[in-house]
Amino acid sequence: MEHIVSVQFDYYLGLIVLFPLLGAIINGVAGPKLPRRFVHWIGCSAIGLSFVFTALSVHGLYLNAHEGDHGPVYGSIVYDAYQWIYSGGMELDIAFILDPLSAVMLLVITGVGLLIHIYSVGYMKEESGVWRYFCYLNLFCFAMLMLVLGKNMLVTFIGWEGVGLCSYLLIGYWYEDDSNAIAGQKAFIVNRVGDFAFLGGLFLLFYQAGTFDYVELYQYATTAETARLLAPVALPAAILIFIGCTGKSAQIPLYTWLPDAMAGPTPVSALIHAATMVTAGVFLIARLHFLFTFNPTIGYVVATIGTLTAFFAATIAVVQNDIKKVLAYSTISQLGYMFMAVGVGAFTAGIFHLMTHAFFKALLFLGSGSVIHAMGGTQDIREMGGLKEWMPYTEKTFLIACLAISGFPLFAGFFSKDLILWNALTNVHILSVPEAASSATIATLINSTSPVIESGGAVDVTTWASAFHWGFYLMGVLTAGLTAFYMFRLYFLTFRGECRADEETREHLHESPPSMTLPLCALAFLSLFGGWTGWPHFIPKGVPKWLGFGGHGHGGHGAPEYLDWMLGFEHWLDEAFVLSTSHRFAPLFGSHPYTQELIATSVSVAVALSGIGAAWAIYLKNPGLPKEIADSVRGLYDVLMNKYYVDEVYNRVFVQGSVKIGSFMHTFDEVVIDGVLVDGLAWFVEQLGKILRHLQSGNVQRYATYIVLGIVLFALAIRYYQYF
Amino acid sequence: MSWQPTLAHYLILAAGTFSIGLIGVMVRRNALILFMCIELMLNSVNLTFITFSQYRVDLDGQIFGFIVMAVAAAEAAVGLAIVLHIFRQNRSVNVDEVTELQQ
Amino acid sequence: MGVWEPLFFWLFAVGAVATSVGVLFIKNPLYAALSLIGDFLCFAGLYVLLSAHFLAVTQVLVYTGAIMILFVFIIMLLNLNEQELGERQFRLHHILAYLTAGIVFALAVSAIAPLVDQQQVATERQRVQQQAQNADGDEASEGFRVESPVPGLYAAVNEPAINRDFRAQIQSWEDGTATPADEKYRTYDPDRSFEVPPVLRASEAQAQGGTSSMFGTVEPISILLVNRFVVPFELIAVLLLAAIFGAVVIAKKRL
Repeated sequence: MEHIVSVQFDYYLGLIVLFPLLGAIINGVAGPKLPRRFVHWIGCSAIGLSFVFTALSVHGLYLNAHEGDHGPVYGSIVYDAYQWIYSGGMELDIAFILDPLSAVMLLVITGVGLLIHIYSVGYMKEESGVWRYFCYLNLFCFAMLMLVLGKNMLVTFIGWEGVGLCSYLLIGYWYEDDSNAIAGQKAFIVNRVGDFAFLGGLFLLFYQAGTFDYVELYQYATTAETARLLAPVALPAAILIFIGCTGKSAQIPLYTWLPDAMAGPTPVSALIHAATMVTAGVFLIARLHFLFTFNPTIGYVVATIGTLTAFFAATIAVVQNDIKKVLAYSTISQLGYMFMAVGVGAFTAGIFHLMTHAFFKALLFLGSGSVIHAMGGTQDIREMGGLKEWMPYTEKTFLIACLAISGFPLFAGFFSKDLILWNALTNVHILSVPEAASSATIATLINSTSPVIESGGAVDVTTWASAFHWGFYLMGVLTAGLTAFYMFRLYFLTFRGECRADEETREHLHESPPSMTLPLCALAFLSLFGGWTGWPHFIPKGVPKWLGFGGHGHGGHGAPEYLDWMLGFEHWLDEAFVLSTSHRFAPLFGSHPYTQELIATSVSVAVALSGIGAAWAIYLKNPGLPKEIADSVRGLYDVLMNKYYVDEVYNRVFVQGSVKIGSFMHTFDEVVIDGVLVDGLAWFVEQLGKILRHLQSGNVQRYATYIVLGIVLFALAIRYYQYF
Repeated sequence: MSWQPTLAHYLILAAGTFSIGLIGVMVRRNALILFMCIELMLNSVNLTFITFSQYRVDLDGQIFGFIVMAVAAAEAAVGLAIVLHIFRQNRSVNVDEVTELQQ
Repeated sequence: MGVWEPLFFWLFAVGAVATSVGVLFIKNPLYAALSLIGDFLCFAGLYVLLSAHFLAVTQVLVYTGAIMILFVFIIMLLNLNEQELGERQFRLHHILAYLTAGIVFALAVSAIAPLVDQQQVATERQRVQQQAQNADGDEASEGFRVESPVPGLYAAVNEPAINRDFRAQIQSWEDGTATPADEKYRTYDPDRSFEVPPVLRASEAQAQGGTSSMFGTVEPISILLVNRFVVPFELIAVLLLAAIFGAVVIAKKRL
């Protein structure tokens, strides 16, 4: 992160951001007058050009690597677009930074974004005023790219607010329907709560470190002298920023907006509420990894919230009947996984899962969009079934995505999810501050009850911390089983079995046009092979070198020999998080970490397979069984069906509460503000005016006298001000 | 205060005539005399300029005086034209009868 | 110090104040105008005392000769009668006016008085004279200067010092090879001190036989006007032209 590469093409970073903005402006200004085809072309080519330049600059970043101690060092490319605020000691630029972390995000945003733009052309075919849609979509891409590329926290914040705005606009895209508009407002307001905390954390950091710049903050946190200064604010600042992340990424307690956000068009759900925007929180924590590993307590908070969210969202998803609601809760659950990963310090795993999740969750949403399109707007899976017959492409790609999210071996989700689970069990992360202050000093500085114990160079964890790690792992495995179960419940109910749709709908059933199926196929390809850059560590080690597909070891003598590309993702990102060194402890039976990985992976695969099997047994084999089960545990079923009554509680406490406060404020406003202050002031001015009216004689000389008197009084004041 | 004129003498004389002119501007109702008082004030300022010019052996002050005279001439010409115009309209040159500002 | 300068100063000063008060209180505009003419003549006299010869002449020509004549013309043209002049009325704001003008005057005096603190000047003068008397023979013959905190008061400077520091300059002015303006603006130096050799002060120059007779005459002023101040000079021309047009247009019977 410190190493900045200077290159010829740094302005590409500006172009990446510029194209979607231009697309949004053109469509927003001239859209209503343009033919429909032009609107499509502008929207898609804006994000397409962005994708091209992203690819070029990431390739450039790759070529600029040089060999470091732990493998290639990619450094970062910085582009200063505009001098924004220069005030006192603060120098704030609109500056962009491209490093391996933002490169991954950029490729996901522009790549998946491009596919979804193309898909939207087909999906929104029957809509009028589609220019508004593409304008918002491009604007969203612009904001998201700002968020990801920002070199300082304020640029990120612009993007952060921008994506929130676009999310609001797109959820309420069909604003003629009140419930859609209300869902948009709910998303916006819940996000405000998080953003407020985020701003607080941001200012706290600025107050202490005096900078918004990530690189400078990083140096501040990793230099011994300044790290000591940062220690007191690190925990509150990180917690506040994390609250912001829970808002944007739909974690407990601010997740309630995401299921309602499904009111928007399905491609929007795919792009914003699955692939990109909701992952912003994960990205931000990875960006600020030096802050979140500064104090181990923060990590445990993040991981606990993530784990709880993952589990509870999965249980809710099991009973939902709306195809998009299931996917929404599934998204929340998967985001919980990512937070679990970044919480235990496995940033690479978290970002890896972010990427694979973007592929298969976008695919799932687009597939569901295809289904909804074919069903003429119906979203209830109880009215579907047997759609395989009519929609072969959608069905196959949907199946691939379901396998991927369930963690079926060799599919994308398998690699990333198992990496997370293994890390959740064994990983402890603390920031290593060089030389003068060892991590132990920092740890004692921060918190005497730190969960991390450093004894003679080896890292150990306390008993309660160990319990937390077991908790993360077991809940994670359980969630993996639930995920497999509800995804295949969705798949079986939708595509297999008998068709439960009525005659009219059934006649209308059709496969979607190529503009929709082609993105599906592309995403299916990515869901299949997107994870192949991050194999479990024991596999590359086990492949004999003589098989020889060009593998070679990094580093010097004695470095492990393995197939390079099989751990490509990890190597790409390792350098970004290199200073927050990872420590593994050994809670499992085997002493070697890779043995532990093997065990952890086997367990979760077995659980996932049994989840799939249970779904098959319950929903496909015995169609009557679900009702029986639901009846036998009616209480639990109702709780899950009503999403643990969280919305009701929030409604009672926060919404009604603020309504009460609001009505009190209204009375206060009427009586005190309006009555006493406003009307009273008006009355006072009127009376004063009646007196002062006599001064307005129209006599120039009087006016002249007043002027001179004023000047004289002023002069007197200046002359004798020291006596007042 | 000595009998010999010094800087202070000239300046206080200028301040005095300026104040008299100021009173005239604020008190006299005849527009013509009002103008005369303005000329008086301009002259007082001129005197200050020239006093300092002599005091500092710096001709800038006299140049300023010269410029002030020219401006005063222009101002008198336009001002008297306005007085003439007012007289034609009101049959009077008393400024307190010119109260269009009140409306 | 001659007796003439104070004499004329007090003559003109009393004349100026008296005629000003006349302008203020005389009711008939014609007499007021005449009083103002007297006032301007007194001012012209004061300008002469201040060695502003050119301005004194201009004052008589422009103010007395042109502007006041214009006033008198207008007064005669309007030919105001008693009734049109109106009653002299006392208004409440007149008190305010007198008060305000009084404060202005008091403020001005209070600002001017400490500027030349006679007490300080006297003690300073005494101090430097003492120092000059105590000077050694060598030093005295070469001339020496004593710095003084009183602005403009040039400390006791003996003849040799003046000769040493300023002879060449004064000589060039007397020869006509240079003018004061020349010296100041050709080699303009913002750091130049405020000190002025006493021989160059008009009052003392007079006593010493008109050493700096060039100061305030047409030549240096004209040089300045067409060099350093050429832009304001041209702007005055434009202003006067505009004033002529304005006066003609406004004074026309119908606008």
